[in-house]
This record gives sequence, structure tokens and C-alpha cells, in this order.
Amino acid sequence: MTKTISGLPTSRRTFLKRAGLAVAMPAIIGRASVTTAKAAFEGESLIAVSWSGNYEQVFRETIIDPFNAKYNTKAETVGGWDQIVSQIKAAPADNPPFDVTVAEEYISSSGLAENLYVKTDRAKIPNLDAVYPWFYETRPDKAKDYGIPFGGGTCMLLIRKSLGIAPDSWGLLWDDRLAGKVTADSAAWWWTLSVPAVMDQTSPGLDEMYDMATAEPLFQKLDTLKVSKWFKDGAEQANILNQEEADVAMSYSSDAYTFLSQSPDTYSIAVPKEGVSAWADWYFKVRGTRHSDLADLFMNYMLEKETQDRFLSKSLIFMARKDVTVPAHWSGYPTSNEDYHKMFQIITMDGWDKINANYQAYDDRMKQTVARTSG
Amino acid sequence: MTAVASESEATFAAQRQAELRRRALAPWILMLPALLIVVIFFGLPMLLMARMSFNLHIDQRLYVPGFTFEHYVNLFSNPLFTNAIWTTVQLSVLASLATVFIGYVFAMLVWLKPPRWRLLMIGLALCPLLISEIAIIFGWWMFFPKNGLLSFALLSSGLISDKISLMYTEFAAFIGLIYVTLPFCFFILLSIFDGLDKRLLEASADLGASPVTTFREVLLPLTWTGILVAFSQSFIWTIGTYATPSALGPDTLWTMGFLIQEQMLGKHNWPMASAFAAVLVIGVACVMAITRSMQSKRTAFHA
Amino acid sequence: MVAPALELRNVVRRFGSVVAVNDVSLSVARGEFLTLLGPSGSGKTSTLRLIGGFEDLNSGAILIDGQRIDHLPAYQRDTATIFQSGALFPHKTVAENVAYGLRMRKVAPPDMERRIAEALDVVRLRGFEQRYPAQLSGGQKQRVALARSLAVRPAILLFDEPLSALDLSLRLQLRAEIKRLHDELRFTAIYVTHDQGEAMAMSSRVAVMNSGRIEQVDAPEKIFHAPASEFVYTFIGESCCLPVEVGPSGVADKSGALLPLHLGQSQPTGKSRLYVRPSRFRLAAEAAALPNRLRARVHFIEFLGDVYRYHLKAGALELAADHPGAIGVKAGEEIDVGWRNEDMSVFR
Repeated sequence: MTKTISGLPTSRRTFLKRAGLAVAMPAIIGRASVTTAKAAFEGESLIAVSWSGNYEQVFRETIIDPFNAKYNTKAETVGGWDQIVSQIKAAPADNPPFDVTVAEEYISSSGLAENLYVKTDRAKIPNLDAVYPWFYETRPDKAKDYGIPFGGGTCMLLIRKSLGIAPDSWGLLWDDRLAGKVTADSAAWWWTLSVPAVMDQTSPGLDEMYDMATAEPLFQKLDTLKVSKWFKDGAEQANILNQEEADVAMSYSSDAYTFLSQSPDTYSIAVPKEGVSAWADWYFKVRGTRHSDLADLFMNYMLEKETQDRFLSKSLIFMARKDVTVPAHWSGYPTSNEDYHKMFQIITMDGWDKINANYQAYDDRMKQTVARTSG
Repeated sequence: MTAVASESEATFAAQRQAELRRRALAPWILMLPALLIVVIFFGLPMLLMARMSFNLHIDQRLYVPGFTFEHYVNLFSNPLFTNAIWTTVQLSVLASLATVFIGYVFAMLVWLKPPRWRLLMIGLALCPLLISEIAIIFGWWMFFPKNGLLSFALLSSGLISDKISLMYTEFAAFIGLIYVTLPFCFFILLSIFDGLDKRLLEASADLGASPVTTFREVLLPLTWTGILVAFSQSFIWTIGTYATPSALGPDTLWTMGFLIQEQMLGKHNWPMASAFAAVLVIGVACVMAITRSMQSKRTAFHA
Repeated sequence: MVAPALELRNVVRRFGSVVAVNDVSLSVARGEFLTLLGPSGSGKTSTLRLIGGFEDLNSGAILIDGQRIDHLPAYQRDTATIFQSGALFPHKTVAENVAYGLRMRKVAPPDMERRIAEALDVVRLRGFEQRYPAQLSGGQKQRVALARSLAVRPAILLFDEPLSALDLSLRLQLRAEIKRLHDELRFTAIYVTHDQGEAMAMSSRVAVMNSGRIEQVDAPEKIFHAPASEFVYTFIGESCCLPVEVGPSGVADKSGALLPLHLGQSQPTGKSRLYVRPSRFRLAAEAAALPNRLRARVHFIEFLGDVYRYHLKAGALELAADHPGAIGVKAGEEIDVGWRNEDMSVFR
């Protein structure tokens, strides 16, 4: 497990030389030995992309800051979402804008298609042994060698508490009592489309989403929503809810946590009985990174039990490790690999391949839905 | 003697020649930095964008080098895109016209008012430039909705009896765009007004022209170039701005800018985004050409 | 009785706490060329702008041909102004500029052509019809401005320091031209200037203004020779001021020292200021026969072309006397200076 690396990549050496770091000597001598890593990586920087908003903030508080405190590094996190792949692609191959990036299935898929990620050396990330196999079982073989699973997010149902309606079924989005008070995502429309797919128990998973022919009934179901206003991002969703333009929402777990923690008396949020569509948060080492070893150390750190516990205590996402301590606000947290299979239905990478082949058709159809359901 | 004289004459002639060459070259040397900036920061990206628009988009990759007109065909065959072009142009033209109108009145007042008002008015006009577009959007989010400032103000002034929301309407997008571009319009027009002799208005009145006639005969022709420049400036801004209309407008307000960013970032379809952007750039260039051709042919009076 | 072409009755114009035009009354006959002369800030331009309708009066009345016009906006008044800047419309040709007022008065096209031609003839600018103002010299611009105003044949022509932006020779030339035009056309004109030369040369009457009031309205000669006030005296032409105090034992300067001054007419005791124009002093032998004489020391001598100017001092008095030739006196030497009674004005 402890292994000495005799040489350093040229780019790093030149980088260190150029930076003129006084810490260069101990770094070269004690390289990559995790036990002496505190000295080894002192002062080294690392940029990790995490999702934006609340997720990014919790990531900074519960992972980045303690990591820096422990190893004396200068790791930081920046928010990102749809521009991640484009940013890496647009930068020089040997100087990416960040070293580690988060990716759900869509970004995993397009990043891998562009060859932007580096394969994982399992030997350097021993904590992978503690991870639920569900993460690997829901991935195609071509992707399994890349990145590490960290956790995952879900689409949850949010209802204004004062209405006295428990958020126990997705069907409430179509409930007459909430007509004209619905908000959902029109930008990442696939999650919206996944809601009727989750409700439809006749086909396994979200398979019916992946073909335009079988997706059409799902779109038709969405056509009957009585939407107040579609949202395009978390800030807009928050505004729509704050302004009481909407009372019921499909809300992503990280946004949902914000609502729950900041206005606990205003909203009730839950995983409805039909289950939820979900995505897994994988973290990839970006090709061309000049901080490869530190990235490995960081990714292993992300999977420490303490790290995972800390993050879970401030979020509504599900974690990769099997042995996390579940906080009180997370009722019904899955406790086994089977639970994961039952509760979380992800848009698989294979599914994404199919959707992407026909992306514009989906997008056009969704815009029709938006046109049919708005004002 | 003569040999020496002719020799020095030849040297003199050569020096003269060199001096003339230097003089001919000077403007180019002076322009060089600006030219370089234009070429490197505007020309090259534009060329790259044009090239990108013909690349292929297959599977999950952002683009695959190749050559196809597919994206342009898509652009003009998909009603989503053609509608977006129409919607965007319409919105931009209307917002620009309104901006020019408001900016014109505002600039004219500042020009006509005593100097003590001037600083205040210019300060006011500068305000929108000091705030980021995103912050401005958040401001509108406090202003337009049912529980927002506008509704509150109208309600408490007794003009309406029920809360109203103008949020997520074309009107809100329209107002948002005007707000973003107004300062640019205002300063362009103010600089034009400042170049005019106020006595011209008195001279016109003195010769028997009513204020309306004076406006039509004197003020309008003399500020016409400024109006066109302000309009094209405003049009460029409004047609390119995507965050404001997308955040304030209705769900179905899909502008060109919004769709370009969606293609680029959401769909990872760089060629399509580039093709769309190329059309936008060409459209803007056309509007510039049209407004330029509408500028007074009688530029002689500026000679 | 024929009403005057222009009449101002007790006109007052205030800007904040400043009274720019203070109770001005004035009557101008048809065909008269009246100049408002005064230093800057004396209210002359404000008075002109009140007549033209560019300012509103606070009280009083303005009448043209016996009709009150002070309630009318500028564009309904039968006046035409020649501005200091010319204020030609830069986007219109010379012909279009001249046509402007005619179009506003709905003059029929053939008539209009004729009147444009006439107006340009009068200012000698035929052939410049198609030029733009930017293509004209400063003097040409002012002549177009003149033509533009003349073309509409207004009841009153208002000149707002039209020559002050031009250089000296052009100013003299245009001044003569305006004078010639007035002699030919006999228009009624109010002419504002701070240049007394202009005022003297062109006007039938001059109104000297000071601090918003008219100090004197008279023919130029009267203004020059019989100034009604100390201000008018000092403002028009050059003058030397001799502040003296007449006492029982003689005439003293302000420090109380007796002066070697002999006055032809006895002056009442007390302080007074004697004024004499430099051209009216006589020196040396020429002074001997004159009733007023002063023994003074030559301070320095200037050669001004036509004359030598002798700067003299006597006690605390300083004066300048012009003499057509050199008289062989050097600086530091003493000399007699004398003047006639009628060349002296006394104010106290």
C-alpha cells in the first residue's frame, strides 16, 4: 500500500521549479507516502469542481477545508454544471482548468466520449472497498475504470407545508388542489421527464425514456401539468417558491436541503412512494492534471467514513460508503445495496447514449410541452 | 566642388525619401496595436467560430472535425430555431426603439437643463453599468412579482385593488432589456447633443418655427446619426443578452442567445451553437450596414 | 401719433437674487439703429433676449408697434436675431438657411426664390447658395446670418454681439457693411455690443447700460461729449481721473498734500473727481494760456503712432496726456499740463 515513486512527471517538476517552492525538497523525498503526505503535499494546490449552490458550499465546508487542514494543501472547489466538459475541452490538453471534477451520468458520458478523464488506480484509493456495489452495477463496463463514486442526488417532491398535503406521491403534481401552482425544470428537462417514467411501474427503471416512441406518452403526461412557471436553475426555482408563484415543485436534493434547512416550517420535502429518479456523483481526475498524486489522495479522502459522514450530515444526498451515520433529517435512508436498487432509478449512461442520439427531438418536444403548459 | 554638392544633394534627396516613407508608414504603425487587438481578439475567434459551425456532431463528443451544412439546414428548418430568430429580432428591435426613445428624451433633458442637474442625471445613468447583469436580474425579481415592490407600490397608491405580477411576461423581459442598454444609448446621444449649439433652437424659434417644427427641422436631422448609432448599439446589446430575457420573460421566450448557450453548454453541440452564433453575427452586421446606410448622406456639413 | 417700433416699459428680469434687467424703459422709433452698450453683466444681452422672447420678463411690458408681445413665444414674435455664434443650421445650405424663416412664414415658392436671392445679394453672397456653413469663413457665416434675418423682413432686427467672434479687420469691414445696409434698408435694429467703437460708428442712438439699468440714451456724440453719469463718462472713451479735495487753502490730493494745480472755475469745497480725456490735455507752452494748469513730473513716455503719450505724476495724481509730437522733455523732468474748462467733467 505504501509505495515510493522514484520519479516525478516532468511537468510537475518544472512546475515546482518554476513556482520556486521552498517546500519542494521534502515533497520530492517523501512523495506519495500517505503517512507522510502532510509534508509531501504542503502548499500544493488542487482545484475540484463540485456542483454549484448549496452542494458546492457543503463540499467546501466538509471536504475541502478539513482536507487542507489535514494536509496543509491549497485545495479549492469551484462550482460547475453544464459547462464542465466544454471548459476542459477548450483548455490545452496538458493544462486543464481543474484537476478533479464531479460528473453525473451525462457529464460522465460526454467527458468519456471526449477522453477527458484519467483511469483510476484502485491501489491508490483503498476506500473504494467500502463503497456500495450499486454504483458499479448501474454503470456500463466502459466507464467502470474511471473515477470514483462519491454519492448521488435525487429528484424530490416539495410541497408548501401550509397546504397540509404530505409529499408522498408524484401524482400530486397533477392534483387539482395544486393546479396552476406547479414548478419544474425546463432546462434539465430529462429529470422532469423522468417523473412520469418513475410513476409508470410497467417497465423497469427509466427505460421508456430512452426512446422517442416510448417517451411520447411521458411527454403527453407532462403536457397535462398545470404549471405556474418552469424554472431553469436553482435560483429561479427558489425565487418562484419564495414569491409564492408555486406551491409544489420537483426539487433536486441539494436545493431541497437548502429549503429544508433554511425554511423548515415552510416546505415539506420527501422521497415519494414511487421512488425517485437519481444520478450518481462520480469524481474524475481530469486528463493532463499537474496534481495527479494529490488528486488520488483527495479522492481517497472523499471516501473516508468521517468525510462521508460530515457531508451527509449537511445534505439530502445519498453517499457511496456503506457504513455512514445517517442524520435525523434523512428519514428512510437506504441501508443496503438492494435498497439502492429499489429506491434510485438513474438515467444510465447507456440511456444517455440513446437520448443523445436524438437530443434535438427530445428538446423540441419538451419545448412543446413548455409551450402547452404555460400561461 | 560640384561633385561634393551633388553628393550632398543626393544624400538630402535620399533622406527626404526616407522621411516621406516614414510619414506614409506612421499611420499604420500607430494603428497596429488596435489592429492586432481586433484581429487577435475578434477576427480569429470569429474565424474559428465560422469553421466550427461546419464541424460534425456525432455521439457524445462536443464536435468532430469535418464539413457539413447540416447545422445551418437544421437552423432554418426547425421551427424552434426560426421562431427564436424571429422572436429575438422582434424583441430586440422593439426594446432598442424604446431604449433610443427614452435615452433620447433623457439626454435631451440633460442637455437642456442647467449644468447643476447634469452630474446627478449622469450619475443616475451610470448606475446600471455599476451592477452586474445577474444582480440586476435579482433586483427585478424583487420588483415585478406579486409580492414585489411594483405590486406593493401600485397597491398602496390605490391604482390597483389586487396584487399583480408582471414577472415572467414579455413586458418584464422588455423592461429588463431596456434597463441594460439604456446607459449606452444615453451616453451616445448625450455626446451628440453636447456637440450642438443650443442657440440653433433659439435661431429656429426666432425665425418663426414652433417647437415641434424646430424638433423636426433642426434637432432631429442633427441628432439623426446619433439615433442610428444608439439604435445599432442597443440592438447589438439586446440581441446578444440572454440572461435577462430568459430570467424575466415567460417560459416560452426562447431567444437566440439562450438557445446558443443551451446548444453550447447543455447539449454539448458546439457546431450547432457556432452556426447559430454565426447567423446572429451576420444578422447584427446586416443591421449595422442598414443603419449606416441610413446615416445622412449630407455628411459634408461636418467637413 | 405713431406708436414707436419698439417700446419697453419698466421691464424687470431676475435670475435668482440677481436683477439682470432692472426697471428698463426704452422707446425706439421705426428705422432707428439703437445700440445697447455696456460691460458684460450689465444686462444688455438679457434685454435683447427679452425682446426676442428667449427669456421671460418678471414684470413690465414690451410692445412692438404699440402691441404687447411679451406674452408671445419667440416664434410668434416679429423679430429676427443675428447671434454671436451665427447659429446657422449646419445641416442646411446657405440657401436653405435663408429660406428657413420664409418657409415658416409660408412665403410662396416663386416669391421665396426672389427674396433669398435679394437677401444674398444684399450681403454679397450670391453664388454661395449651395455651400454648407462649415465651408464658409467666419465673416461669411455672419453675413449669411444677416441675410437669413433680413429675408424675413422683421419688425425689429436684433443683433447679439454679432461681430465679437471675428478678428479686428473683418469686424471693421462688417461693421461698415451693416451700417451701409441700415442706411439703404432703414430697418429698425437693436444692437448689443460691449465695443464702444462699434456703438459710436453704427448707431442713431446709444443706450449705455450698467448693472441692469440704462444710464443714458442719446446720440453717440451726446454720449461722448455730454455723459450723463460718471459711469458713462468712464465707460466711453479714455479718460483720466483726478481725485482731489478742494479746501480753503487750495486743492489737495487724496493724501492731503497741496497740489500745484490751478483751476479756472472755482469748485465747491470737498472731495470731487475731475475727468479729462488724454487727447484734451495740452502740454508745456500750449498749456500756459489755458485756465486749468498743473505742474507735473514726467513719469514715462509711450509712442503710440499718431501721438506720444506722456504719463505724468503730480503728488498722488496720475494722468496721461497725448501730444502729436515730441516736445523734448525727458522722464523725471517737470512740465506744465493744461486743459480747457469745457474739456473737464467734475463728479462728486
